[in-house]
Amino acid sequence: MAKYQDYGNGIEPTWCKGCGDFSVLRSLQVAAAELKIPQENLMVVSGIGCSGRISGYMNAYSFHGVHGRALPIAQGIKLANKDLTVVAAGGDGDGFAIGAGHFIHSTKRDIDVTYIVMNNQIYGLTKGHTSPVSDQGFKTPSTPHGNEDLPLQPGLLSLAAGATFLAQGFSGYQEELVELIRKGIEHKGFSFINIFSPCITFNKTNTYQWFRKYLTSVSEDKEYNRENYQEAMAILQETNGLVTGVIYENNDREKKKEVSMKESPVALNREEFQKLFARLY
Amino acid sequence: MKLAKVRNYIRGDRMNREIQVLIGGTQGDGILATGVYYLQVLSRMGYHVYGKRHFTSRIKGGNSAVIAYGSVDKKGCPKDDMDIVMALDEETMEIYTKKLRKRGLLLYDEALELKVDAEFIQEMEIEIISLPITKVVKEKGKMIMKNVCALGFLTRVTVIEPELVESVIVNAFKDKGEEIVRKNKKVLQGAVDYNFTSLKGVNYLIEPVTEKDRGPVVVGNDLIGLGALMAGCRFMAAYPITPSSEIMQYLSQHLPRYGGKVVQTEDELAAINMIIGCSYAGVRSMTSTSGPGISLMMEGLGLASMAEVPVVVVDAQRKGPSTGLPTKHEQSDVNTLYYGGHGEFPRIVLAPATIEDCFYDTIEAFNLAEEYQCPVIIMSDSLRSLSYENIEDLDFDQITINRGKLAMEEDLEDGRVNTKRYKDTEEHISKRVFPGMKNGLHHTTGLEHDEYGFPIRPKDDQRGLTEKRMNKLDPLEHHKGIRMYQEKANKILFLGYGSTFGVLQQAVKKMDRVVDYGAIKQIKPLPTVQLKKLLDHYDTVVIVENNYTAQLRKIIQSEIGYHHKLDSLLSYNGDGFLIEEIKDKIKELI
Repeated sequence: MAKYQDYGNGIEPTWCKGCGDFSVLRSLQVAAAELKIPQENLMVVSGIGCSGRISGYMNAYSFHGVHGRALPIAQGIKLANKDLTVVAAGGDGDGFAIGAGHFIHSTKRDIDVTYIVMNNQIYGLTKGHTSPVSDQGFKTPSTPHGNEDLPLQPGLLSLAAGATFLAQGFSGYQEELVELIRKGIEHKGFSFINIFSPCITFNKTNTYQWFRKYLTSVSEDKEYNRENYQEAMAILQETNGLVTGVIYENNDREKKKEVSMKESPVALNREEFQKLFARLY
Repeated sequence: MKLAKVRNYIRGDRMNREIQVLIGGTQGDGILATGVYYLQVLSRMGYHVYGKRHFTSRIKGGNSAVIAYGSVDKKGCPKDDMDIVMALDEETMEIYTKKLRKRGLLLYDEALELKVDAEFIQEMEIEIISLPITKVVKEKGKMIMKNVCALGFLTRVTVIEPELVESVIVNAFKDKGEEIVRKNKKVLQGAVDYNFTSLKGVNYLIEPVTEKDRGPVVVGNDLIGLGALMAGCRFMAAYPITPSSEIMQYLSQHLPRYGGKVVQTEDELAAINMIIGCSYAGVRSMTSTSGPGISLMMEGLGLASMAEVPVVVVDAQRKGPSTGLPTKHEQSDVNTLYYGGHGEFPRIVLAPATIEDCFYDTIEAFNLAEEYQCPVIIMSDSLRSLSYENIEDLDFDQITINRGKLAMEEDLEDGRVNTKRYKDTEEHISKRVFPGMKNGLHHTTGLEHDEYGFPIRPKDDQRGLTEKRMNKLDPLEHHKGIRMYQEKANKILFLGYGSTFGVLQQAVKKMDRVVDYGAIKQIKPLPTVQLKKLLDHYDTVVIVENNYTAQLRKIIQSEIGYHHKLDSLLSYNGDGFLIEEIKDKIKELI
């Protein structure tokens, strides 16, 4: 029986005590244990930021790329070897600012990667600057007079980009989080899990207490049909995005043929070469 | 007059052993195709061919021209002047008539108004013939077939066997169905059969020079694509950009057959990072781009170098900073490729000088990337990437695949993230471990890290693995990275790189080889050992390059010294050198 401890490497995270990311790390480890993923087949790719360090705490193959680029790296790895379970993880700056283009296009491309965003609505590692999902009026050293912009809506953005799996979780609800990550990994195609993961040091607004007060759950509506695109759009709009659970899932879309280029032969023989040469005419 | 009669009439003293035609018209008229078909015809007659494009960033409208050159010897660049200019629009007459040689021939569509400088025509004794190109197309087919009609007239004027031309057209349209082939043949026939009443200008008999077909007509980018396939590249991620897109098109066409894939990414940032991921997981991967894309890829090149992931990147350079002149030629990314990116990181830069190099250097790039575990950049340029040449043969036996140091699963010990993926060795290169391998778990990061791949901690030596990375390419400085074509016969040496080599070679030959010459193939690391020896021997070494600031010459000066011996020949007009310009420099120095 696999244990979550088997997926930790014993390195102590650099995160502040009480950071929501601890819960995400543990949930990922528990989900991996529940799915009994062999460590050598688990690939965790991360970006830059506090949350970007998550890959370095996993007993797995781990790749800590540059800011905003976790998703392209993760997709490249999955295309090379389809037997790997590829998880990309990062923060809201990584995913919705510098890497926003990759987020949209990874969603559209639908390669089987699970994307976990540890969304704390602030840039923790730069010591508290505003993020693309910070609330309007939010005061930080980079927005001393208050953030002028409205926050991006990651859930709606994801649906608009053609998501086949969208879930939202909260570091405070670990049991649900484990289930969401597990379902995300099991989903064939690109799965996006937007996790409210409070920054206890710099974000004094969107705290654990704040989320407990305002978050609703899709499970509150017994009739909620997560396979209905319109309902998914509606619930995100009605709750201003403050809702947890599997928001949307589509398993009907025709899947692209999975490739695993690592298995492709490297050397081509003389006959193939001659054929290719003849095709130059 | 029947063709056979024409042949008999002009055979002998008026026979030509080389020809250069400029065909120009409105972009969207299929001008390029006319030129390429003509090159294919010449290639089948045994000529060596070279085709050069002049085009703009517009899809339709605007002038577009192609130079088609056939000669008995392999040239690697066009002649400076034209034997024939064929104008399918008035702009072509205005821009290019002055490129004609003395007693050259101007052909133009009779539907156009003749626009030429009468003084020039008289002085240069230019012959002018109008051809009913539009009229014949309208009678025999559709306007879209204007390029085939133009080809018909051109091959008629140069007295080429119609059967040969027809076979090229059939081959070009065979995938589009019999009906299309039939219609194009009809248009072609209409042009060939046209009853010339005044063809006094028919003095361009092109005789077959050998029975041997000189092979397919390709651009450098095609052979980079073929080289990548043969090197075992199975993944490309790229964003389309002139003048590199043909590589992506080639691989998109052929990779699926060999279990590979091309992903067209959202931008160049994604492209470089996706191939880093794929290569990290064990698959030979590449991307191709041009200047604007290279700027975006700098952070990725730094990551690949830091994480010691092999990647191959083609930079087909184009003119200017920013968007510059996308369809014009320049070699001005040299500094960027040599020094670019923040921090210091190793990389290899190769510059294919000939069309064959595009094939072999690409294979070499993949080998070096895996051998040295760093990015390898193939520094091409617009002319090297997009010019047409025929290629007789590529040597299968020269293809070798060296995947460098790879860990075997059975060699790996207990796998609790303690694999020394970045173990420093005598040659500073460690065994690669791919995800999925048992007992090989390790971390990879763009942060400065230890031999396990983990970020270094405050108490560690903050140099981390800097020296391991920076020193591993040292052996390459001993490579013979300069290919000498003529050595130690004179005291002056001219060195070109990329497409400047072809034109340099022609200039030196035309000057009876009074200077020595060669091609710099390995730009980074510079082959310092060989360079020093050359600089010891020669009084003057001229670096021939297409940029404003003498980029490679200054790099050589800063790495090797010898300031008094190094000289430059520069041009940055977007069009490469004329043979005459290089000859002038040679004359100045000897």
